[in-house]
Amino acid sequence: MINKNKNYIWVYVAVAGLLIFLFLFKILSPFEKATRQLINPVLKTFYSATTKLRMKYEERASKEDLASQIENLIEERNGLIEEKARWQALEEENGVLREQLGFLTKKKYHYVVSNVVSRGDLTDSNRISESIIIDKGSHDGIYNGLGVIGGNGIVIGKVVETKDNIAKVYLTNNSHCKLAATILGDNKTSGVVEGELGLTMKMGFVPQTADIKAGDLIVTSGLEEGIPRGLVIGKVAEIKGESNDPWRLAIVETLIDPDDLTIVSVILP
Amino acid sequence: MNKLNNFFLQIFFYFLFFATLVAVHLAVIKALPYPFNKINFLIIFIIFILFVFGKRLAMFASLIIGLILDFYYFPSLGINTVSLLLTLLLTNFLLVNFLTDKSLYSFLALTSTAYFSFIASLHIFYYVVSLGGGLEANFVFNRYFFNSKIYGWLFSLIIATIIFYIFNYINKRYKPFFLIKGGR
Repeated sequence: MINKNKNYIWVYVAVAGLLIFLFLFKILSPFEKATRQLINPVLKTFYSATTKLRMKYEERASKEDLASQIENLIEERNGLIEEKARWQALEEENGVLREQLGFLTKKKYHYVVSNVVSRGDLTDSNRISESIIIDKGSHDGIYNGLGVIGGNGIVIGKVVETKDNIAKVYLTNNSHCKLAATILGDNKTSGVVEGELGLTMKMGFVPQTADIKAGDLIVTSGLEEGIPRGLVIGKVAEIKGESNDPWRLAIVETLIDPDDLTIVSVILP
Repeated sequence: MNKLNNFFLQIFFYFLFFATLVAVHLAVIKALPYPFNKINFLIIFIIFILFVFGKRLAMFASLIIGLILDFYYFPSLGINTVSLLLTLLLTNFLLVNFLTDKSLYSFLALTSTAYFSFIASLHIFYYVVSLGGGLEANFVFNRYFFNSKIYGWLFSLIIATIIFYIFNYINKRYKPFFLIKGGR
C-alpha cells in the first residue's frame, strides 16, 4: 500500500515537473492558442450575459435611492450647463487659433476594440476587481504599457501582460497601475495617479500652490509613452494634507464601475 | 482500432466538459458580485470527482482544468496545474487514511482542506515566481484578503452541500458507505 502511494506521488511529481518544463519552453504554445480560440467566444458570451444580469439586478435593488440620485443629478446638470457654455466659447476660440496656426484637426486615435472575458487575478482578494482579461493580444498589436479606455473615453487601466490572443489589464484602482496625470485646465500641475489597496486612486506630490479642489477632473498628461494626453482618469474626491506640508495628496474616484465593463478599447500609438 | 477511437473520443468529451467548467468559472462565477465571485467552483468539482469516481479521473480533471486555467492566467508556468495536483494529492491522502465514510461531513471536510491548500499553494508558488523577477506579487495580507478567503470558503461549502444533496437524490452511488481499508 505504502509502495503504491509512493508510486503515485512520483507520478504527480513527474507530471508537475513536465508541465513546468513545457510551459517554460513554450512547447504548449500552439495547443494553448488553439484552446483559447475555442473557448474565447464562450467566455465572451458567458461574461457578457452574467454582467448584464448582475447590472439588471443591481438596478432593481437601487431603485429606492433613485429620488435622491435624481436630485443630485439635477444639481450637477445645472452646473454642467454653465460649464458647457464656458467650454463652447473656449472651443470656438481654440478652433480659430488652430486654423490660424495651421494645426491638424483633432487627433484621431487608433484603437483595438476587445471583449472582457474574465476579471480578477490569481491572487485577487479585494471587493472591487483590480484586473481584467481581454480577448485581444499581441497578435492584434497590443503590448505592455498601452492605455485602455472604457465607455465615454474614460481610462480604465493599462495593459500589463499579453499572450497571442489575450491580454491582462491592470485597472486604475490596482496599486501596480501608475498613470502620468494632470489636472484638467491646469497644465503646470502633473503627477502620478496610482491605485490604493484596490479601492480608490491617489495622486501624490501635488504642490501646495496648485489650484486643486474636490470635483476637479484628472486627465492623462501625455508624458507616458503609449497613452495620449487628455483622457479622463477620474474626479478628485478629497484633498489630504496640512497647510504646512510641502505636498498634498488627492484622492481620485473613477467615473466608471470597472465591474460593469464588457467591451473596452486599447489605444494604439 | 475501435477501442482506440472510443478512448480518444472519451478524452475529447472529457476535455470539452472540463473546458466548459473552466469557462463557467472564469466568465460566470468571476463576473458575480462580491463575495459570490470568490466561490471556488472548480475545487468543489474536482473534490466531487475524487469522492465519487476516484483519484484517476480526479487527476485527469485537475490536469485539464489546471492547464486551461494556466492558459488564461499570467504567468504561464503551470502554477494552477501544479497547485491543483498538490491539492488533490493531499485530499486523496486524507480521504484514504483518515475518513471512514462518504458522508456530507467528509465531503465538506475535504472541500475545506482542498480550498485552503489550493490557496496556500497558489500564493506560495506565485510568491516564489515573483522572487525570480518579472512579476509583481499582487497580494497583501490585510483584512480584505482574509475576509475574501473566509467568504469564498463559506460559499463554497454551501455550493458543495447543494451538489451533495442533488447527487444523493438522483444517484444511489453517493449514499454513505464505509471505505474499505487500503482500497481506492
